[in-house]
Amino acid sequence: MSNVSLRHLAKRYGKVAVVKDVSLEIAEGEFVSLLGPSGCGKTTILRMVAGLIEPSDGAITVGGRDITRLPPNKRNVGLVFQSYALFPHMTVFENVAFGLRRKGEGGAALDERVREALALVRLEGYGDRYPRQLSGGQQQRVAMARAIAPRPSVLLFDEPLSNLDAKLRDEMQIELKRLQRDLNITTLFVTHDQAEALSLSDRVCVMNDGVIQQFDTPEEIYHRPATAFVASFIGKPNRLAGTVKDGAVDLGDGLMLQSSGAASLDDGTPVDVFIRQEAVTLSASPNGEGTSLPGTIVLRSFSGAQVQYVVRLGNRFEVVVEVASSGEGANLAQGKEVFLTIRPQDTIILRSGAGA
Amino acid sequence: MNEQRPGLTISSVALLVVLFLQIPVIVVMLASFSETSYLTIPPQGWTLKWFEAVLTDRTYIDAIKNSLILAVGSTTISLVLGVAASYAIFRKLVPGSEALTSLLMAPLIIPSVVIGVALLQYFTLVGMRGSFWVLLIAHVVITVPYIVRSALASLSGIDLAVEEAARVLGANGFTTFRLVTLPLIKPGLVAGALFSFVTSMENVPVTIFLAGPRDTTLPILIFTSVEMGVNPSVAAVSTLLIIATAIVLLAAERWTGFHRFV
Repeated sequence: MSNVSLRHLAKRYGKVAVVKDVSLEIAEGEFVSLLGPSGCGKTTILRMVAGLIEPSDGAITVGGRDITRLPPNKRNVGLVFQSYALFPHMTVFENVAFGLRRKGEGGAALDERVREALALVRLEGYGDRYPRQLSGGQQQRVAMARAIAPRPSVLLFDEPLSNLDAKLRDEMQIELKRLQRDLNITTLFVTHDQAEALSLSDRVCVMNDGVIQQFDTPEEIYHRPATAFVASFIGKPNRLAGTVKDGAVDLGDGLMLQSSGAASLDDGTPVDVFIRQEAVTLSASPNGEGTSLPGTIVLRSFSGAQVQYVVRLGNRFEVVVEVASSGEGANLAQGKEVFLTIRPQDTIILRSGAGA
Repeated sequence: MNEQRPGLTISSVALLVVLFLQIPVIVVMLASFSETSYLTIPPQGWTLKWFEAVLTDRTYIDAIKNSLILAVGSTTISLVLGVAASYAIFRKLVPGSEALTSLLMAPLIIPSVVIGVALLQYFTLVGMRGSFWVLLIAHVVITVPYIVRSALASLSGIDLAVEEAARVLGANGFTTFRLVTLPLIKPGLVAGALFSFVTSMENVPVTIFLAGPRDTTLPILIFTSVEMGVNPSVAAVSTLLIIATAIVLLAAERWTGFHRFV
């Protein structure tokens, strides 16, 4: 049993609260990401679980065992650092063996366990190299092998992929997911990269300002953000402010937007409507499905698979729209009058000021 | 014009500077081979008798022995104390780390003569004057800054996360220091230890106030022999010292590439 639970965890430095009353239940074998902008407290939480920072309040238990006040060397956790933090004066073999030796492993059993760990990250035969002789991606894999070799009850990742270039990052993402699934180790993964968090995790915990904004599956987080912060942090949504009127949203300038959430709100309620860039379709004439709003193309930019438009909507809004470059509406010229079609179910509606 | 390579002028000036700096060394080495019973350049004749004289003279042998014991002893103690202090300062384990650093480095800035006089007064007051231990303590005081400086510089070059990684992997504080921190700062410490050793070996101004009659060190002996009238045995012992130093420096460079830490 290696479920992790954080109860009312808090960290204050003097009067500054970095983590405020965070409670989180992570099931055994689950992959959970802590996602948020820098300074939101996600790394602080990770370091408290590792024992590198002492919590001001609250408790951390792993598999029912309270580890809140244990030193890091007594916790049996694995940690992969952003900087990898490999021991530069040791070979790959000794790096991976370090944790095992601390547990008293030696001889043939040790060799076997190190070989196993290196095989898992596909670095067989690299044991004699020194970290400086390896590429960034290989160093990253050694760091993972080192963390998993002692069979920790929890794996912690502190933005492990942020130092890699884009292509390598995608590869490592897949590898990491495979590794975690094969080993079935409870994992806490800190990142500020939403795509990383959404694609890797069973559940994502979005944080801001030391507080959990939403803790849910990637699908829920994406499609049903609980707060305006989550709505604006995930994806690249357009934010339109308006007021509820007759079960739709009045955006001013005579623009009425159908939104599936508006019916349950009273007339006159100020709301923010979030519309993802890819949820809007552009066409030369009004389209039947959903609201069609007239606009003018201000800017078009081609970026390979997608074309992005900036479309002026009435006097108050400029909306960014992203369409597939092979699809419909990919070749609209700048200055052209178009219709933006938005399906009611693709809008996310939140009361103004709800949760920042 | 190739601007990448230094011009002829720069090269010649550099060569002149190097020569100028080496003149005393060359003069002493040449003078030690002279057959005359006084120092002269260029040497008259060619003999090794002054070397023989030095190596058979009990006073010189004892002085060399004293100097070596002091240098090895003070460097060892300075290493232990200096590394411990630097680690505590660097990891902010103690309050007032800035002030502590300045305090430890102070012997580098305070004139040696002042340190000598101050220590003489202090040890006279506590009634320890004339003891060999007094000399050892004094040498620790003047060598510890070299260790602290190189240890702090080396520590600041380590990624803090490396120590944390060791801790999370199950190493306690001491094991982490022994297996991770210490090996990583070792090249810097070798450089610091060499400076410390040389500083202790050559020190006159502090030692001369504190050395008892039986604790004469080599530089003190050279100093007093020169006062009493110079013969080439002084040059010979200096030559030996220069050669020994050169060998040690070359060996250390080979082993650790320590010039990066100087």
